[in-house]
Amino acid sequence: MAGYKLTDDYGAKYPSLANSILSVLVFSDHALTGSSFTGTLDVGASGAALETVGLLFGTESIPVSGTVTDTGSTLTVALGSTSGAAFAAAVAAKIPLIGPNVTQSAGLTVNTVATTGDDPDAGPATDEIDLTLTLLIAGHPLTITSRLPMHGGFAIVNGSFTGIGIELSDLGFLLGSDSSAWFPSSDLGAFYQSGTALELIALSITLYFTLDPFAVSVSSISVTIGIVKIPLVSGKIYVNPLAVVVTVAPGGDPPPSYSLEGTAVLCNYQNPNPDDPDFAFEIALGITGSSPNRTFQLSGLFENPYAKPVSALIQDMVGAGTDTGISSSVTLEKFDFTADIVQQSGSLTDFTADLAMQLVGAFGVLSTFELESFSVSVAYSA
Amino acid sequence: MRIVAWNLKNIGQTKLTNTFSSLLTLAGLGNNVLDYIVKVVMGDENWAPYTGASPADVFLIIELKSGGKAKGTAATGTAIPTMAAIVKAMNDVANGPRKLSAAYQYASVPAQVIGYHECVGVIYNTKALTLDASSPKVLKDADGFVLPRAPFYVKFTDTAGKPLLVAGIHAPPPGGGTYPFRLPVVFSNKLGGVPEINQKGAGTRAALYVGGDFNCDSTSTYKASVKKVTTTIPGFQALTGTYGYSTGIAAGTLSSMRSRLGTASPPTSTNYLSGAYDNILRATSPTGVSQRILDLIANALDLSVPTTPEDMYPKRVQMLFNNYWKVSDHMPVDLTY
Repeated sequence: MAGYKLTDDYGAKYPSLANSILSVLVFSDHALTGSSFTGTLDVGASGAALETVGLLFGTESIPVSGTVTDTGSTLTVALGSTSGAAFAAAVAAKIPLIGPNVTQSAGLTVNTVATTGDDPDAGPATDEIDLTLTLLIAGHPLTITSRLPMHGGFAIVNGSFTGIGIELSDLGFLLGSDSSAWFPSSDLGAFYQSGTALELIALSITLYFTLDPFAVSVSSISVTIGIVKIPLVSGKIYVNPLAVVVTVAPGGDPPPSYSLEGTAVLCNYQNPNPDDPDFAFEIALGITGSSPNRTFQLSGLFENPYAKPVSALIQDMVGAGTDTGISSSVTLEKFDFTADIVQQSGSLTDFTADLAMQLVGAFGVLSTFELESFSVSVAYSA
Repeated sequence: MRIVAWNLKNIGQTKLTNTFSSLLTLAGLGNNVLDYIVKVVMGDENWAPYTGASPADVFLIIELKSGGKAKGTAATGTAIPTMAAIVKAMNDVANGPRKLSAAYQYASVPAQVIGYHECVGVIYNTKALTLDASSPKVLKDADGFVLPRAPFYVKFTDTAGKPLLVAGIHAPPPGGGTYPFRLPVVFSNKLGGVPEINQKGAGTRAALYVGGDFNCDSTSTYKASVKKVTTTIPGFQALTGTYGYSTGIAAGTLSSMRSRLGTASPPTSTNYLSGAYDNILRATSPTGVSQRILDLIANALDLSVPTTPEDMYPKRVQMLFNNYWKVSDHMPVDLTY
């Protein structure tokens, strides 16, 4: 049936669909067999919802397939476009930076989960329509996604990855063939030498769409490159990974910039394995001084409750057997860590950590105090 | 000249990618948080009927996430790619079909840490303002850096050769007890002790705009003993009472988000806004200056409706409320002259 919407069949039963993307997506044809759905999205009839992506894909119709499952109380719609190669060719032609050698597939996905108990005014809890691009980087097909852009504007197509080993040259097509222009090799001191294993942690491409006339350009690219398992205090504290976040604007204005972020991990004092730490927290690194005598200033802040006992974390940092008198039932509420690292050695010269906790259990030798919260400061100097 | 100060609640690179419900995007309010922010500050078609089409000349980003806590040191971590992405996006709009590039190009001031893992971002229009590169600093009073989060101060010169100064601030939040606004009120009055802000002995008062999240306003008070007399001390007292600052934001104008949507009927802004927290205090009053809190819920338009954009409020207030929380818990402050 031309002009079909899924709300035609399911809107009365699931009122929240009135505030769903399904209320505007129009199919020029469709078929539902069991839960198996096929159809063709009518770009023009779907209005602003598909206008931008229709122009990007160079099409007026988008064939999709997937499932539509109605349990009686929950409707789950999971659809994906099926012309990935053709759409990839269209995207590659419009965005030369990720041309045909790179763009493997392009498409859109629709995921909606509505229940009969949804607040109709708020819409379904899950209601997503996304643009997907699959790029070939270092031999790996990597899929990055964005909310489907509508009315032009900025779309950030991004993804996070694990276990994707790369060399800087693999990113030359995106960031520039001369990696010294964008990767801070010399600033990283002992953290990076030739041959240091690198991983692609995240990729984010910000696209800028204008509609009349249609144009798409790459606004900026941000790539997060990881260096893994850097020992700061061997056996105790590692940076895993150190994330070098490189941001590049095609054309070089503004010039490339980078920041140093990542995750520090605190190993268990009885089993010091950086892949299975007791605790991990986000960090940022600043740099002071001039090369080669720079100092990295590492800082990390964790502000959520964490199930690990404070007593164990202190032993992880300072050493087994350190007795603070804090019960093992007292867990972490907040963790604030700062450290200085010498550029040439990459080793940590000193650190301080403040651990805050709520008193919910017995408190060892401090149990006679009427306290609601407590903090401990730990200091270390090499 | 248009100055926008906006507390963007712990904004960082990851937050820029956060998306909205599909129908909010369909309405044209933004494909993601970056897109939403840029549309507002650039006077995009979504907001132009309300804000005017003029882009911002100065954009103060309050609560920009950074590494570090040593005040006055360079911001690190996510602050850097976050600022790079916003600046580039604003330039893309300026260089795009609206053909604004002759009057608008943007750069950012190198950010500095103002407090615990936090800095203020300052983006400015290089066609209207020239940065005094030696000026950016985190401000002190007689006791040292203003606590807990010090103002970030920048000096520009406009095209007429006159100084335009800004200081981005983030006051401590209200607490409990008899006088919940004591901490932010104390902070707001500490600003009067900062030489760069009070401009004592500076001769002609320069155009200085102190903008951001004050977490209080002139209606917020606490009581303290002054010369052994119990005295009510209001917010902004030092700046507006002693040093000649003023604001065009009416006392009590709400600007921060409620945590849950209220149900008062007929609906009013008190259903989604609570505290009168955000402001720009100005040391001088240029001809034609106007200020307001931008209510981005009550004035949202649905551009997907053919022919004439449709008001989304109050009919779709729940969706607007839920999605605005992905951007911030504060509305922006706008100053134009």
